[in-house]
Amino acid sequence: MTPLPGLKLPKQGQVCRLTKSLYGLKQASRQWFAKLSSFLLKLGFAQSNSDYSLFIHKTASTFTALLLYVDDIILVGNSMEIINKTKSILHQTFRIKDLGKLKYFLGFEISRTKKGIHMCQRKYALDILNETGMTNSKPCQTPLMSDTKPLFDTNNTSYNADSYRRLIGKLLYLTNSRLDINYSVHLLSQFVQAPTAYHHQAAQHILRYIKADLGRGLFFPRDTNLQIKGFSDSD
Amino acid sequence: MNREIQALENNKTWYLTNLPNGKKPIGCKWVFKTKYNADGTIERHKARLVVKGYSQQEGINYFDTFSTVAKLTTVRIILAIAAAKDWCIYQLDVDNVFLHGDLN
Repeated sequence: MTPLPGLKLPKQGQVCRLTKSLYGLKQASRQWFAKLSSFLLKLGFAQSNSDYSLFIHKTASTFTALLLYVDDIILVGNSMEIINKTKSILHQTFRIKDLGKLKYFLGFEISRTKKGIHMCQRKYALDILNETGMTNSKPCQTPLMSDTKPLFDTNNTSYNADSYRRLIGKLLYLTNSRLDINYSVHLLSQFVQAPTAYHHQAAQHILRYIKADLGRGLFFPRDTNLQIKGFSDSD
Repeated sequence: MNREIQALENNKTWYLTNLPNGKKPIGCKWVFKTKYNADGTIERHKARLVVKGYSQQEGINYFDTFSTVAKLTTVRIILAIAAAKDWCIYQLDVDNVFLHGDLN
């Protein structure tokens, strides 16, 4: 690397040989992930096969899971002792900030009550409404316009494809906590290639539906038996 | 800016050496950002040294760039289990995350 401006060089023409990665290097994120994962494996964590960013530490009586999102880490488990130990080892090696109990992660607002855990994207939804100028629109109670036929009418001229695509992208992220808009958003996402006025209208309809209850999200009850349930249907 | 330099030095990010023949050094620059609080007041001025990664060539300067991120279904499952089992959930944040990786 060329020496940074202001660095005093003992000899002219010298350069910096990097031994650690720096922001902007193409491999920076990979090097970090490689380092942390090998460190966690040494601590006795096992990497999950279904999600490589999930690490699990198990003993006869304890269970600890660590979830990694680049520089954000979630630690969860039944043993405070192991959680605290992991925290302090991580802090010694990497300098971490302890953000306390999980409240805000990747735009999800997480709150805990006696009855369970609630997760929503209120702020994210509000930001979408602000950006699209829909803050003062009239809320509505259905996620999709009743007449969907015109959506498939491709004869109309398309316009504003950029803003439509951006909006669909944001709505797609919102489906993580709003499963109720899943169908409409995925239906509308079929038309990002050439959106017509009617598609824009349908997207606005979704926004007005979201506006009706911004804090709606997912609730994970405390009082439940953990079981995988499957549903099937036949014609 | 001084804090960032301190972090880079503590980390022993580089050492000075002569340029090997026929090699070109990669450029770097400072990026300055002002962080604001929610009410619009200035929280702090942030400086970060970045290298110009766009001049790196795949296969020569780097090989793999992959890094995983958590799937959101995993996040939801973790929350669901933690709710049912009454487990504590904590959140940590790593400082200067990309300065930690080793290069060889």
